[in-house]
Amino acid sequence: MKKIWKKVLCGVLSLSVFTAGGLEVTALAGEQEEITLHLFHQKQEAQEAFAQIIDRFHAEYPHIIVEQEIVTNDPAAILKARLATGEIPDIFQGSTDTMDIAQGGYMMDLAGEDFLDHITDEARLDSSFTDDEGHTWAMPVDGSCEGIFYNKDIFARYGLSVPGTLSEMKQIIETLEAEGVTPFAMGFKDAWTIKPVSLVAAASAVYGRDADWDSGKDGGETSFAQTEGWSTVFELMKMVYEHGNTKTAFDTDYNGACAMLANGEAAMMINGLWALEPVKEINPDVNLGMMAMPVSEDEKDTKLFQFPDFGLSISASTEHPKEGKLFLEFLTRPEIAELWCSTSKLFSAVKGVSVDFDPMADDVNTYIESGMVCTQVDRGWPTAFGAEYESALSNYLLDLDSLENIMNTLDLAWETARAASQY
Amino acid sequence: MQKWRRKQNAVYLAFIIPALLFFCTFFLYPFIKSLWLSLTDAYGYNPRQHFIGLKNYAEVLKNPGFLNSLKVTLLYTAFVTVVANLIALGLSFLLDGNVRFKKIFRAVFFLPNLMSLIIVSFIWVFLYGSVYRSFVDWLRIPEDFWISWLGNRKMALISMGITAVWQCAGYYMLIYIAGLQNIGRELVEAAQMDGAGTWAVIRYIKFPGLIPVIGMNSVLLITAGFKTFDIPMAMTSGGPAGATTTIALQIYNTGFRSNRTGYATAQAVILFLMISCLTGLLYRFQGRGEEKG
Amino acid sequence: MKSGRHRTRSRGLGITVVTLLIALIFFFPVLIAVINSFKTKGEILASAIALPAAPAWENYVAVVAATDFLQVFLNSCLVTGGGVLLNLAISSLAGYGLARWRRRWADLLTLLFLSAMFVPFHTIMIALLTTARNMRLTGHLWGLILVYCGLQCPIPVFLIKGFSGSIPLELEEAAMVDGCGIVRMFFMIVLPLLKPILATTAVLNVLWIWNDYLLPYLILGKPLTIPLSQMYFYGQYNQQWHLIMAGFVVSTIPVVLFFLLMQKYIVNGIAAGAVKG
Repeated sequence: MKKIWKKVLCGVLSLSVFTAGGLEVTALAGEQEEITLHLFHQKQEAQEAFAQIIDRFHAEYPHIIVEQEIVTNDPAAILKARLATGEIPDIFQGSTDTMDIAQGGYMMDLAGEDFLDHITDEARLDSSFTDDEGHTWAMPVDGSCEGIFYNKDIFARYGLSVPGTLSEMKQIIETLEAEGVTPFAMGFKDAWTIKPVSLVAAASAVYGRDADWDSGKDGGETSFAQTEGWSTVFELMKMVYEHGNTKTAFDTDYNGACAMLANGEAAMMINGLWALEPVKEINPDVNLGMMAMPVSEDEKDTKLFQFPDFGLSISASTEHPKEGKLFLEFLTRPEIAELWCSTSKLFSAVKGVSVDFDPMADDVNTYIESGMVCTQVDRGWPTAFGAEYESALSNYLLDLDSLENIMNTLDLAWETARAASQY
Repeated sequence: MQKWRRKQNAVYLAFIIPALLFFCTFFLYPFIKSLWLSLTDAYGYNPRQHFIGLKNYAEVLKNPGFLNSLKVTLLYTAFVTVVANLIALGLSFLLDGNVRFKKIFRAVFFLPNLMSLIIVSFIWVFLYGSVYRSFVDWLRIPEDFWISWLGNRKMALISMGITAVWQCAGYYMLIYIAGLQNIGRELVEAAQMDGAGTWAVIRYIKFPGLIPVIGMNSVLLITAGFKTFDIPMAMTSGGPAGATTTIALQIYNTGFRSNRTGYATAQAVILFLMISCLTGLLYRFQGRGEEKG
Repeated sequence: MKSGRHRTRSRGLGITVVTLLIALIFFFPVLIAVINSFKTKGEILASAIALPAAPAWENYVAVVAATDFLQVFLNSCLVTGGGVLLNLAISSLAGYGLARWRRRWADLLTLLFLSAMFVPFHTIMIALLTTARNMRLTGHLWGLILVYCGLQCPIPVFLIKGFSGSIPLELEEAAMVDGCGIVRMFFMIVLPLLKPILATTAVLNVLWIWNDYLLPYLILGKPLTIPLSQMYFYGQYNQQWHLIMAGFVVSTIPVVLFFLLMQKYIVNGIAAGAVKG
């Protein structure tokens, strides 16, 4: 009696689990068995672009269905849970954890795949996609940059132009404030939005001067405390904080800051190119430009932080490696790459593809063409350092610690984090 | 008879075994493994780990982030324990009194406790943000007097505490009501006969009778406070500048954001030690109090 | 006498009004959430404290569709129901066994179960996740059910043990003299007597599991239960408070209904659980 009851319960349980888990439908479509690829990423601004690309991919390969899942809330932790639970998406964005994830053996090595030839070399060989031993763990899809978004109409109204030096920048802030315009929009309730402010300055003040700063730090030749540029970075970040919606900065979130810029309530906002899409969604007519952060009186120091950004990896344990590669190959086709750029308003990592997705693209291209870009900054940082760095930023902004102490804390945190990821 | 006894004992043992198996698999074994992990350099996605002795513990005790989260947790727990106790006590006296529609009121006060903390947090983010903004706009309060509920370091922890109190007060109120019902009605009636007013009854009969319950509720509130995770995670992600990063959130961040699982587990073991010492002490105090009373 | 009664009644009125005011304050956040769930995005932007021009039912339609609410709701029911029932089954056996087993081991085991109450979930979190993963229990609802079953053990076992101890031994002995085996006797006589304590532990665990966030998040990794789905939804529909609030109302209704149906058990359960735990 008891046994039967148990069996029934088991049956009911497993039945409902199967329907609940959303098991892949394995119906026959024509000759080929229909398969589903699970695509996991965190690029909310690319949702529409991916939807279109997936449709076209499905038209060409009717037996492959691609399901995209966008996770914006704490994507790194969710991906980690997925990996830990063995529920690994077929194709996913490892983001800044890519190298750590690859080390755990979760990613397929893409080196030598033909489709990688379509990708620009600087993107493909970037340290966040290809490691020292030549393994390519992720395929770069787009290029992005972080800089200062500025409202061209507001600048024109007060006769302001793009600053080349720090004193020009300070002049701009002064003029705007005198005219009653909030210079910077800040959404620091989302703590991650503080980091770009510092990175934009670090591109010019630290990595623009010494692209190999990371190895110097690892080798003990330099440190946060010894590098004057880092103090400049923190001081500039504070300058931005003091000239904007300072009182409400920590009450406002990322979307709130985007709205301020979009509605002309602030003249500038520091963030990545990905913010363009949400800003334009709020106000399609806003006339924006992008510029680098001056850090000194030398115009040659002023460099834009530009980097290959979004990359996709294939799970090492996927049941459909062939189809996964087909999808990546599809992304490298020029017409698809163009569609990607124009819809998600980003640069392409595919050779020869350049789209004027927005008037702002010209600004960025000017920096790229004149070589005034810096591609490093946080790309090679050890994972565990990220959190410590972010807390150092807000600690400094809110005067919780002296700059000297913060630099020493950062030095220690870097060494600990580096040691933790290598054994 | 001896044989029958033995057989009987075997059956009882068989009764215990399923629960014991589940318990060992999902509790005891992970617990022991945690103690081991805390002594290793276990790191994120990498399945290998090496024994490194007490190094993690040494680092935890020096780490400003952890010490900050300790401070935050203590302040938060103190706030919630005191305020929730006071409000729950007050509510229980009200509902124990001569109120009509008792059941409806009881349900209203308990309602927040039924919701998931995630949803509770979102509602309060909305209250502290949009609703508050609409409110000050409506009253035309100048911007200089606005309160930065979640953006100010000092205020954020209090705002979070208010949310927690709102959510849990109803639960503790129910315990107090049960405690009040245990106090003999005769005692109360006898006092009233002697001409004692409502206040006197509360002050001299009900309140002293509730002291052991207050102790117990405090223990429950303190242990819950030490484990607080959902509210800071959903409301503030621990910000601004770590002002609301509780120990539990710190452990989570270290383990799942910074990938340092061994180090995170060491922090978690310290949390366990603190909670057990505290509960042990509190129970002892309470036991002594009861013996005296 | 007459005036005395009159006095009590009017005093009852005063305290009722005071309580009503406090209850309104308590209810305010819920009220705001419900009101805003019926507004359009524009109406919320204009004012979060005004009433909607007309109830925007489409918010609910959108939320139910976007979160696949029905499926998520069934999942939550399954996890909660499965976890609680399975746990009650093993806990009542163990609780009774521990109460009747006259060995020093029984006390030791009880102590072991009891000591687990001191261990916060975060302490075992990472190790539990790897254990569950090694046992292939992750990513599926039934895996989560088993983990819950194990994690819930301590308190029910302890409560049921205490309760079983108060069942008169003569009752069982009489049954056994009649030739009833222990197993049968347990189901026929003991289990019915355990009903109140089973109801108590069940309702408490139902509320816990239904609203739990972190464990399902770690074990499932996908938005399969209600709190998880709300969290994902919040992340994806940032700033769209009209939808978020509608989602909140939809996911809170089931648990409120549960409370109204089970009010007696919940109220008694909390009191009993606290007094004994």
